[in-house]
Amino acid sequence: MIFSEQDLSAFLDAELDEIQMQAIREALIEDEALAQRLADLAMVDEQIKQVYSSINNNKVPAEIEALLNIDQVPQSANVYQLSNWFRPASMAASVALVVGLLVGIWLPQKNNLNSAWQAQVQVLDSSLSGEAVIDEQGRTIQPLLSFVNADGNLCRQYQISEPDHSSQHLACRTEQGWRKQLSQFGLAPQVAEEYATASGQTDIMRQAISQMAVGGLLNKTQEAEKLNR
Amino acid sequence: MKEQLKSLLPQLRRFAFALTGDADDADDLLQNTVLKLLKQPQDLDEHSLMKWSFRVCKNLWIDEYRNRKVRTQASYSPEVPEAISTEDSEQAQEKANTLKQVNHAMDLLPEDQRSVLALVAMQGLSYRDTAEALKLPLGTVMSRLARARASVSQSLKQQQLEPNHDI
Repeated sequence: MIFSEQDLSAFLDAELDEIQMQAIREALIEDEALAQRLADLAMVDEQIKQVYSSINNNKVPAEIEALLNIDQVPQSANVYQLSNWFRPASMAASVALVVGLLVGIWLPQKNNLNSAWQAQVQVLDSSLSGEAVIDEQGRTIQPLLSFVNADGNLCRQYQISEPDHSSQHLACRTEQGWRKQLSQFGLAPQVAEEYATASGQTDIMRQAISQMAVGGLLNKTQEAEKLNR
Repeated sequence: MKEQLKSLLPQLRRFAFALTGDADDADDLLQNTVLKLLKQPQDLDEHSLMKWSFRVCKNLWIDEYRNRKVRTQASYSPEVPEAISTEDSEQAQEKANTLKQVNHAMDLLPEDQRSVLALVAMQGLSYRDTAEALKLPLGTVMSRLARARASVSQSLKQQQLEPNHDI
């Protein structure tokens, strides 16, 4: 059976129906030339991701920061100082790692929230670490761990997963509601069960948590008390 | 909407870089995109805003950059990030070469294929979201993407075979 470039391209993106997907899978077992064609197309995606993601190593121009009011957070004891568009010390070669710091982002708990943020707030308020919730857009939101910061506020690391990428976030609950402290985008897809252990965390998240947390991570009982469960 | 745009910024920036092939041009395009988006505030959910933002960016790219027929040299921004400046110079050179090769391959694509490839291959958008973002039929997205991937693959292979080819 002959498969066109369009067939293979759509196979890469899982955009064929299951019968077509299965036909190509079976053909790949025997047909090395077909496998090579597919690999060549997949390599295009990898090269493009690797090359063009590198721009986020550069500091965002001040003009753009000004347009979006991206500000510095004042430094205080035991709080990790978040600088604008922090650049990681190293980049994962095979994963398009993009770090975005949402500094001092005020996201009110009520009114003017978009549905995606509302879903995140709901999960942060009610789900224990490890419990995965699927929102209306089919994204999986899963708290990973909880701790208390120097201000006595509950802080939580959580991830948002979609079929081909994920992101991780750190948010703290103040009297006025949840406030994001750190976000990392463009991470590799995460399986819901593989929630963060020390080895699963990125260096940036680990560093931020170690500097913010007072008294270590909360266990399930402590977490449930904070969530009033 | 500013808060939503802040979280979209890394994705938009990558997309702008994939369209322009030059970091400085990408930031110019990004700035103009953000300006245009802020001038027309929309009450959209995150997903819809993302698609709209990509569409605005692509249209600006076509209007302002392609019409100027600017073909900038593929390069990193003059502000070399610490991550790259501390690397072995051989690795840095290899990265610069890869950027040139990929840019050369992308420059060979018609605009409509380049924007589809940037959205699907790099941003990971579904065909449906890409079709909505670019206001295209689904079948058109599929065919342009396939041709774009095949073209870039061919160009990259050719450049590997001819490393001294002047691009």
